[in-house]
Amino acid sequence: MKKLMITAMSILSLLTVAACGQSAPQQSAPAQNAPAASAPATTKTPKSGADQKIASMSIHLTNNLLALGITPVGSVIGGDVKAFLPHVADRLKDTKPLGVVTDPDMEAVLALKPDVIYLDEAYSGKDVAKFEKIAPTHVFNLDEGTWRDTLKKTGALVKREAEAETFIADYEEQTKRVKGLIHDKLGDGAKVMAIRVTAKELRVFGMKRPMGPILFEDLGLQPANGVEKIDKAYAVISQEVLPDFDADAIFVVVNAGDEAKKVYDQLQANPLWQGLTAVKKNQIYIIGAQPWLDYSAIGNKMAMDEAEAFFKK
Amino acid sequence: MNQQEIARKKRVMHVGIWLILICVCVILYSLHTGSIRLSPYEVLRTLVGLGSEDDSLVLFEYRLPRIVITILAGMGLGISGAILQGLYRNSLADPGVLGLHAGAAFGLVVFVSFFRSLEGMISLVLPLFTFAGAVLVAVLIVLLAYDRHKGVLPIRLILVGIALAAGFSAITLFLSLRLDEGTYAFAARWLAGNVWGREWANVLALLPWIVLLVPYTWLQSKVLDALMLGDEVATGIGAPVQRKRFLLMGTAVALASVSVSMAGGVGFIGLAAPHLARRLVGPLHQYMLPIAGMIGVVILVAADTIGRSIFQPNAIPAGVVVAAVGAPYFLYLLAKTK
Amino acid sequence: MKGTVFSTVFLLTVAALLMSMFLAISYGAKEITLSTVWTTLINYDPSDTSHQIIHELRLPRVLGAALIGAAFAVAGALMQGVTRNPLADAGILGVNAGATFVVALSFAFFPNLPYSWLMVVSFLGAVMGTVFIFLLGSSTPGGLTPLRLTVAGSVVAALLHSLSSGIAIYFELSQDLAFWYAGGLAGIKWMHLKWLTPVVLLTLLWTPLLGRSISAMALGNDVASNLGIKTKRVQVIAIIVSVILAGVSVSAVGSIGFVGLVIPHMARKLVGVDYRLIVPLSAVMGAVLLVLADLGARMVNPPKELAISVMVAMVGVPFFLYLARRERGSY
Repeated sequence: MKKLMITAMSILSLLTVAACGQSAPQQSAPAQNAPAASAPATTKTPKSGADQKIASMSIHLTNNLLALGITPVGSVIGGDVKAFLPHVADRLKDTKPLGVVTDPDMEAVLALKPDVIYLDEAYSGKDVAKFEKIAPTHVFNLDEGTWRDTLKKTGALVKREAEAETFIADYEEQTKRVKGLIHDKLGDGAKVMAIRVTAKELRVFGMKRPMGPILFEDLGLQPANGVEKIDKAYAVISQEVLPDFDADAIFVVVNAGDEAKKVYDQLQANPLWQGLTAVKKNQIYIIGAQPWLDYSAIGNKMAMDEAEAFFKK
Repeated sequence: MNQQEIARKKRVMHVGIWLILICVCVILYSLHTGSIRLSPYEVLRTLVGLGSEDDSLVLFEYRLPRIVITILAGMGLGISGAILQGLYRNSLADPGVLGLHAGAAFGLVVFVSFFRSLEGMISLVLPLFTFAGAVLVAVLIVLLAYDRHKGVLPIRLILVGIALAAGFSAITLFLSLRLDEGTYAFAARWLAGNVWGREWANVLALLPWIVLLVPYTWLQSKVLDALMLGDEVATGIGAPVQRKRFLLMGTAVALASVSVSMAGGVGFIGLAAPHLARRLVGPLHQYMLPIAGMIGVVILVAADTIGRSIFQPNAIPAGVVVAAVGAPYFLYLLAKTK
Repeated sequence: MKGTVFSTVFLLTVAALLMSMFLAISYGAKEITLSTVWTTLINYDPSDTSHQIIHELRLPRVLGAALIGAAFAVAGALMQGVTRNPLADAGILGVNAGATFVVALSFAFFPNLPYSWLMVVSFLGAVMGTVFIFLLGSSTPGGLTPLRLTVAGSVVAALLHSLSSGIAIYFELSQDLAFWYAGGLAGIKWMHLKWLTPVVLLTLLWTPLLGRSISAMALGNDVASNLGIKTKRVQVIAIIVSVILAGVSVSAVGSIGFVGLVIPHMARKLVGVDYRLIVPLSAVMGAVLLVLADLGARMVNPPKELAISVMVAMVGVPFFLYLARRERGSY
């Protein structure tokens, strides 16, 4: 009995000590994020335009904001890398990570006291009511139109329509250039495909976002045999049918993680791979998972930069 | 009432009061853990309705539902284990080891394939599915472990449970492969014992089961005591053995399956809680059951809090934390029992 | 008389193995005619795509399945023989879980370990798991009864699995480790076979020498001692051999349970209690089971592959239940 009491006492005191120790330094955290005196906790009147404090609950919406020159105060992080996506991480140094989109850290959102919250309907549509308790909320449907439409919509919300138009115009300009470069390199009627090597499986990207639109619409490339039938983001295939696609050029995304890299090394060592048309023509292009799989304004722009660099050589 | 009885009552009171204190401390500490730090004082102030608007939002909308779920599930698992150990006179019985969790997981995957969603009010039906899955396993276990002459054989019970757990996990994996990736990932995390219930709707799904079944179990303490002594004794006292055993088994399965439906496949609580309770207050179920329930609460709330706070930024499922402590305890018991 | 039964059964299983291997080589995501398969086997043309598919993708995989099936089955047979525990199996005795756990650790702390080292490391993990369970068993007052060993093994496995997934989540290895959990033969290439084949075959060749002693020990340690067999030594050697076999297999294909449990029983049903016959027969039958299970895993839902452990469990679990039910009076 006595032993038990002593144990209980010590647990109790430990808990109290731990509790006190941890609560002190955190108190000031929300205050730090308030940029001006104009945003104390009591005012919930939404400000308009670019000086709003925006919490973005979608990595793609975050990157659209960045394209317009606006840095959100908080954003969800990439589910795969468990951090901000590498290609934009340097622009989000002062942005508070809000957890992964499938399991957002609501407390962190609340602590930011944002003026407005941007959501992706596909992931957070069901939780709108929860977010609205924190701040006014805008829901985007990224499947409506292309990233251009989302960017324009965002531009209208933050009063930067002109920037959105310029960004899109620049992108179209660049696309035309890259299109020409690719044509010079691959020749007429070249068929391309994009694959992704993960630790467990081999995927072929289909006609839907993220990969389909940029390759087959923006760059106007011709899909390899069978790719046009994949009416979704990707399909899992067996290595055995890889030659059947008969692609002239292959874009390869290798997943992060040692196991995926090992799988790709083994794939390269395989005579089957070495027999592929694209390999024989030396037209294999290793592309980063980011920016290529980030279907946003910045993502597509940076992917286009990468493609330009490839085909300029 | 003799001296001994009074001494025991006193002891139970002592243990009970200390456990309640520990429970309150663990719960308060858990309430204080999260991205926004609320001091214990602020937590208390908000709980009695004096906190700021944001503090109440954090506490009542984000943290409290999850903690209430861990409390209810911890209690359910602890008591479920106590019933199973009493029913089968088997100190190694635990809903997880017996494969009930695997059955519940099977029910969960069937549920997800039907409704494709776990959101909001539809989650009220979820416990029914996990219950059905666990019942299926329980029936199979009893059928397979039953011997005409000796009744249900304790060690065979465990063996059959282990095999059924492996089998049902395989079927579950097979079914979940047909679901999309997100659902598959959810099922995998659920199996590892990740407390996923975050909403009051989830609490609502769990509450009626616990509120009804826990007092029912407690009222049956005398029957459990009698069953512990053997079927002959129980019959001698006048308990309708088979019917009571059937009902209590159902209760144990229900408690375990609804608990894991919201808290994920957390094992070993049903094993450890009744053991510790018996150590503290002796084998009489009247005293032991409430204590086992409280120990279950302490273990699960503490494990969930530890998993969330110590390993930041990655949260470790509560089930992993419990297994890291619970499995060695099981082995210790196994080595000690003859 | 017994000799002829054995020879007949053995020849039939070898035929079954060859048949199933040929089937497994012939079927896959890409349709290839049987005659092409045949020409590849006898006259390999490295520039033909179909030939490449068979030679580079299917052949190593099927050979790997046969090799590993044999290894798991023999490991199970030896363990069941020397511990006189009908429920002994690499999956149950902590070998798989130990290997997975150590692999998780090495992924976390030495991410760039080459394959050959990974094999050594996972073998050490397998040894660790087994030793731990045996130590636990022998410190028990009641002794190491089969059932106690099984229960201890499965709980240690649960514990190690739990810890592995904790490590995987904490160090964000889930992707890399998923393969080790589920088990699968997709990753087997000629490169792996180069390591696996000598280790497994050399160890397997050694096992018939143990057959006589183990047959005697299966009748009881007293009988064996009377026959002049050093039981302790045989026990230790047999367990080392089976841990090598199982550990190496787990390192190549992840944890696949139940092969080592089911196969020796079937072998015993067919040829009796003589371990000189049980061991080689188990090897061939184990190979058949795994080759077919792998084929099944590929064909159920192509082009996705089902975890092979699921396929094997579908056969193994009912069998285990049957055994557990038959086991009475031994505790």
